[in-house]
Amino acid sequence: MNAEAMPGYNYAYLDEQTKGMIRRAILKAVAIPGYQVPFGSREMPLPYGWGTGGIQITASIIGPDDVLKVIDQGADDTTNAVSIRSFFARTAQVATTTTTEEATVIQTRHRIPEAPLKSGQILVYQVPIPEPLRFMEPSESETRTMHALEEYGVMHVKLYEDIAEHGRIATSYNYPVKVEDRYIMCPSPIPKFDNPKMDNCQALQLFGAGREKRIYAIPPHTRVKSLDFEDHPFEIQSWDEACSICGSRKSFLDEIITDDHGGRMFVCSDSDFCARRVREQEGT
Amino acid sequence: MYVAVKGGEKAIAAAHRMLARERRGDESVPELSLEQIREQLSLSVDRVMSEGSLYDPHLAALAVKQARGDLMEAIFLLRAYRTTLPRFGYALPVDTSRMHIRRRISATFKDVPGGQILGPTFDYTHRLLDWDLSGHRSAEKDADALVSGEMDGAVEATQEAMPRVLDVLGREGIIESETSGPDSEPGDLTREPLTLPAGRSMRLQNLARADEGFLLAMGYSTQRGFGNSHPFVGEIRMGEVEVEFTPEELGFPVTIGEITLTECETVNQFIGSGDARFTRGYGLTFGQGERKAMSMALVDRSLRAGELGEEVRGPAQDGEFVLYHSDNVEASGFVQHLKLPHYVDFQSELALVRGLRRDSTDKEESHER
Amino acid sequence: MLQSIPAGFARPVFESQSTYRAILEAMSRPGSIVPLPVQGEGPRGWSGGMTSVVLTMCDMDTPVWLDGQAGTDDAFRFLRFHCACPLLDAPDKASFAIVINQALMPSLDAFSLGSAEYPERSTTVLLATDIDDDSGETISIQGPGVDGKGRLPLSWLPPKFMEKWRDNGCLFPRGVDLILVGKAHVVGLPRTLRMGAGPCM
Repeated sequence: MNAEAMPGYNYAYLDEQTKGMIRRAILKAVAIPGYQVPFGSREMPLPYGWGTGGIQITASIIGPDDVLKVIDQGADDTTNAVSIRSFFARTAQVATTTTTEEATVIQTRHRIPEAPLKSGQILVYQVPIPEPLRFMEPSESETRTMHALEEYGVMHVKLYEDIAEHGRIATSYNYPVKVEDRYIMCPSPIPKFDNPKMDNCQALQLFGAGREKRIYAIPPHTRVKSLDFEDHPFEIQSWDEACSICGSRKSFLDEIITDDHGGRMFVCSDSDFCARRVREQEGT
Repeated sequence: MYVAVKGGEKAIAAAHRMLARERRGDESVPELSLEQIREQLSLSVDRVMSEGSLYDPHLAALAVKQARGDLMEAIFLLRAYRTTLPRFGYALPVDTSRMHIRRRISATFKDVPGGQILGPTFDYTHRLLDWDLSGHRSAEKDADALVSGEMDGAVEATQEAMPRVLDVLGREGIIESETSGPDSEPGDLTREPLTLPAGRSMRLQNLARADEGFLLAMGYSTQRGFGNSHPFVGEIRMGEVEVEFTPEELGFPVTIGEITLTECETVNQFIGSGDARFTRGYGLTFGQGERKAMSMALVDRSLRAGELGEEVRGPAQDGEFVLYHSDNVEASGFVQHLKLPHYVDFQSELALVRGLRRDSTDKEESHER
Repeated sequence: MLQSIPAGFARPVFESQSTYRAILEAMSRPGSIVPLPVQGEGPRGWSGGMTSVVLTMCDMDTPVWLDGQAGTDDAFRFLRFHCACPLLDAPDKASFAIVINQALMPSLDAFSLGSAEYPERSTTVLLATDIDDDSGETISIQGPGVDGKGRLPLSWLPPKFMEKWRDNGCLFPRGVDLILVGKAHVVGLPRTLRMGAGPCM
C-alpha cells in the first residue's frame, strides 16, 4: 500500500495532524454521547454542506482493510454518494460496496439503512446543522449554556406548541432525540421513521458537521429516545402503499411522480434493501 | 416500470467533460496562460490569495483559470489545496512600517512624513470604457505606459521606511495603543474552531479570510446607522514587506520572501473624557485589496462595541452574526447544498402535511354528521 | 554522546490508523479487550502497546504529563522527536497523561476535568495495566457501549479506585476518560461507565 495514493496528497487526503485532531475529537464524542465536540474542521475538496463533516470523519478512521458504503437518501447511486465513494476509492484505495452487511464503514446522508446494523460497523452521518436548539435560539453561546445546564425548556415548549396548533408534533424529519437521558441531539435530518434504529444500535454512530465544525457520537448499545409527551407518544410514518418494485410494506418509501395527471408510485428509498428483496423473490 | 436512477457515475463524468469544454471556450481563441492571468488580472489573483489564505500568485492564477473566472470557486480551490499543506512553523510578524511602499494615503492629515503617494489606483479614474483596451493596443501606447511606469518606479524606489500615521498619533497618546490584549498568543482559525466570544486575533483572522462583498455590506451598514463608530481613514498603505522566519537549527531570523500587502488603519470614535483617546480599526489583505482592507477595518472596529461599552444595535456589531456568516466557502457550500436531493425529508413533510389536511377534513366531516 | 531514539512506528500512516481503530473500538465498547494491531518501538520501560497508543494520540497540539516512572529522559526525547508535544510538570492541563506505575496514579480530580460548556477539554489517562492478569475479583459495569451488563477485573485498576471513579462519574458531563493499555491490548473506560453499585447519588 502506497502512502501517496494521489500524487501530492496524503493517504485519505487529510494530513496526519488533522487526522489526529479529528480522531481525538471522536474519542471525546464517544465518551460524552450526544454532546457536540467542536473541532478544527478543514476545507475539503468538496463543498461545505455536501458532506464535509462526514468525509473528514471517514478520512480520519478509514484504512486499507475497510469496506466502504456511501448512501445519499438511502441510495448508493445518487450523484453525491457516487462522488464521495469515488473520492475515497481514489484517495484511500478502499474497497467499496453497496451491500449494507459487507460494509465496515457506511457514510450516509439523511437515512439509516433498513438492514439492521451489526457490531463492528461504523455509521458516519453527514450533518448540516448539528444544533437541535438552533431554530429556537440562534445564538451559539446561548445554546451551549442550555446544553451545559440541561436547560431544555424551549424544546418542550416548541413541541407543545405544535400539539396545540396541529394536534400532533409537526416534525417529520430531524426529529430531536435525547441520548442516555442527558443531551438533546439532532439526529441529522433523517426521517423520524429512522429514529428508532438509533436506539440500542449495535453499530457505532458518528456524526460530522464540517461547516459548523462539530462532531458527536452515539456508542453502541446506547439509549436514544425520541422526545414526546405521554399523551402524544412518538410515532413513525407509514404508507398506505407498498414498494412498486419489491412490494415491501416495512421500508421508507420515496414517492415518484410518473405523469402530470396525478400519477405516482412508491419505491424503497434504500436501494440495496430493495434490490436484495427482488433477488430473494427471484430465488437467485 | 420505473428504473432507479442509475449511471450517476457516467453522468458525473459527462458533466466534467462538458465543463472542461466550456472552460476552454472557442478553440480558435488562444488559451490563457497563467502568466497572463497573474499579470493582467492581478486583482482577481490578489482577492483569491487573500480569501484563500494562501500567498501564491501562480497557484491563484491557476485557480482562477480552472474556475472559469468564478473567484469564489477559485478561492475554494485554493483553500482545499492549502489545507493539505504541512506547517513548518510560524513566520515572525511582518513589520508594515518597513514596507516598500507603492501607495500610501492618509485622510486625516494633509501631509504626513513620507508624503501621500497615490500609486496604482482606480481613484480619480473616470469610469469611461477605454476602447483602446478592446482591440489591439498600439505598440507605441504600451511602450509609453512602460516608460512612464518605470519613471514612477524610480521615484518609488527612493522611498525609505515610512512611519505609520497612527504611530505618530500613538506617540502623542491620543489614540489607544494597539496591544495584543488577553489573547497574547494568537489563535489559529484554520486549526481550531471559532469559539465565542472570540478574541480580537481570532476575529481579525476571520475577517481577513472573509468574503469581500459581505464585509463591504457590513461596513456600509455601520455607516448608515446600524452601529456607528465614526471612522476616519488614518492611513492606507500598499506595497511589499519581507517575511522573516527563524529556523530551529539557525536560531536567528532569515528573510524567506517578500509579499504584497494592503493595510488600512482607521481612527475611530474616542473613549473617555479627561483621558479621551481615539480608538482603532484594522484591516489587512494580501496583494492590493483596498476595498476589503477598509471594510475589514470598519467591521473590526464595530465588533469591538461590546468591549468598549457601546450599545450593540447593528448586525455588524454582533460578533456571532458576523463571524459565523463571513466565510464565502462555507456560505456558498451551504446555500448550494439545497440542490442536492432531499427526497427523503420532503417525503416526510409531504406525509405530514397530507396527514394534517386529512385530520382537518375528518374533523369537519364529523362536525357535519 | 548521541543517543539513538527508538523508531516508533515503521509505517506511521497505516499503523496509527489501525491502532486508532482499536482505541475507538475500546472506547465504544467499554470493558471489552481489544487487541492492538501493532506494538511500536518506544522508550525503555514502555510496553509496545503504550508506545503505539501514545504515537497515535499525541502531537504538538496535545500537552502531555507523565508519571515519575514513565517520564524518563529517554521518554522525553522520544516524545519530543516523534510527537513534538508540550511536556507538562503537572497533570491539571494535560490532554493526555501517561501513567506506567499505577501506584503513582494521581487522584482523578488532579487532572483536567473540562467544563460544563466544554466537557471534552478533560484529560485522557493512558494507564498501563497487565491485561493478561484477570485473576481475582471482578466488578459489574454498565453504561453506553455495554450490552446489558459486563464485568471488569479489579486487578486492572489502581487500589481504591472505585470510589474515585464514582466521584468522577458524578461530575458528568465533566470528568476524565481512561484507557487501560496492556502489552498488546487496550480497554476503554469512558467517563460514562458505571462500576459496581451504580450511578452516583
